[in-house]
Amino acid sequence: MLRSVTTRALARVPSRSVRSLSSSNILLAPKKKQGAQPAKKLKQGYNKKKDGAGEKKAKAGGMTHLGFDDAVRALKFEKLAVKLDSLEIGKLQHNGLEKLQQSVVKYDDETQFALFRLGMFKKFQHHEMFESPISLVSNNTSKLSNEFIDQLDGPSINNRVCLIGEKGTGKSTLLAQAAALARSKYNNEVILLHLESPLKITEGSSDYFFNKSLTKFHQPMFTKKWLYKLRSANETIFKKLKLTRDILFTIKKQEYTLKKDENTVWDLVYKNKDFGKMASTNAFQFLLEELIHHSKEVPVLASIDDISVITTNPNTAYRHTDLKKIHVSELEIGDLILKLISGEVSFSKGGVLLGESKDSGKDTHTLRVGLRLEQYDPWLKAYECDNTIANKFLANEGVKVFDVKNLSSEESTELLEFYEATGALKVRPYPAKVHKTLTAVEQAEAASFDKTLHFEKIAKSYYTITGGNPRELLKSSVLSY
Amino acid sequence: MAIHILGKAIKHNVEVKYGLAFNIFGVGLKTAEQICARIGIYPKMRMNQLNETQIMAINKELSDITVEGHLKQKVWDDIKLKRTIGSYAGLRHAMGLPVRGQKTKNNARTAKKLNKLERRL
Repeated sequence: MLRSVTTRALARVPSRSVRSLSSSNILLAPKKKQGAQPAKKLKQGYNKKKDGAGEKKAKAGGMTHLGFDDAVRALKFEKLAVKLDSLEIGKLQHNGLEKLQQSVVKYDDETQFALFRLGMFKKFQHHEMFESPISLVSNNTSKLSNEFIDQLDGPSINNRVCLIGEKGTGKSTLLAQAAALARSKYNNEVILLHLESPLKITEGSSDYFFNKSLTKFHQPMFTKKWLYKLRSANETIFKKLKLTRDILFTIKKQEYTLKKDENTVWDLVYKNKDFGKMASTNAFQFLLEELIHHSKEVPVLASIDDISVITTNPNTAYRHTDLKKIHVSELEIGDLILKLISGEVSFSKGGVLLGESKDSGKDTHTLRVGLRLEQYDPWLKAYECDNTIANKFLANEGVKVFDVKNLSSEESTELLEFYEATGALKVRPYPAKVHKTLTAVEQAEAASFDKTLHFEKIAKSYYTITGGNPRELLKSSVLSY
Repeated sequence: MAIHILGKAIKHNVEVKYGLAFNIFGVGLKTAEQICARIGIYPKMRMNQLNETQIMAINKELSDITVEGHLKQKVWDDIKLKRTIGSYAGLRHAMGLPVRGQKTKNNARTAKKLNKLERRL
């Protein structure tokens, strides 16, 4: 029976249909026109040329190819943030710092540009939440101003400070504040030498070359990039400083001479291409000597963040020809850092400010021994405590310790008020979606919601949870929902 | 775009040491690092950043050590020698069984797959 039905059904189906489970599509299809030309076969190939082939299609890309951490910086979310002008917040200044105590401030436009170029605003600091980078003038700021910024008129050998403290307590922010205060104190006539992380010289991302005259490894790629940052941040002051010696260098087989008292330090850093050359060159040493000479009039603030990178792992990723690891002191810039720490390189007016980092992995005894926070134990292995580096910290009466404290309850309330005003902190009765049944007390609270009272409650609660740690305060505010 | 070293095409965007270690038979990470250190290639350099001189220097360094076909031939010759002298290891190779005392009641799949007089390398 079934067989006969199938045969009858198949008989109705035109012969062109082969092996189809449903014949309805074929039966409903329009009939082929008589005498119609068969469709021209398209040529297949990769290099198709059509009319208007020159016109490029607009690429429909996603928002960014970057990961979250870099994306929040690259997508410029700060443009969507609340305008800070409406909040009337002050600018960080050295004069009248007492008046700014316990208040949120922003940086002067020129200073902000300089700090930005130097890499003083870091990732994970949630700068995208605000129109421009902000900071709180805390007790730490005024203390650092008294202990370090006010000493910038003296030699840097006597003014070497290391910021230590728990993770997120504001060491990097304090470095930025110190740079801003120094610029404000000297009307932008201060040279900022900032290195955001020594990891850039130790991780092996720059080429290296042994300079026989210096007996150090020169890192052209890194030196060039660092110099771009330095010259961009210090352009105004570099243009004012005249060279004290003549210098001769070659660009594309043509010799150039910069003359003393005529050309400036800016000409040196702008025109001289020897900094990035894979050849024995003393260009960087020449620049350093010029800066040391000019430091009689213009103070130099050398700041190095993440100094723990050097103290925890002084052996770099670079290797000698016999496969031994190159020590950081054998690199030209690494050596400069250690000389700044020890005071061997000293500016007539200036200071050296170091910032500890809690992200550099394993913790060794080097920094704590160097800062006299711990007794040296002769039984420690070389990788547990590097004597060379610890001794640099101890040289010339040693580097002073500056313990960065967490915020006080009043300071954290002030900061949270600012977050609330900018919309970073949401003060509302309960989350939009309530996942639980509210108790009678909670229902009553929700009905009679008082924003001020609720904010006070949040401020107290956040202070208790975070212990006044600015990083945790910001995280609690920004990452809560 | 691939970079050719010893006739091997190595992907352009890998670090030199990994490119050498993963593509050239007989070169591991340590040897690759040694070669890079001798030539002065920085640790995070990538294959497409190598210039002609550096590629030639790598080729020269590799030509001084036994790699690729020569190394494979050496391994086969060694196995063949063991078989010729009638050693137990040679016998096990010929039988396609584990050479170094591993049990054969179960498994021994790798040995059965690879161990021959012309061992698969």
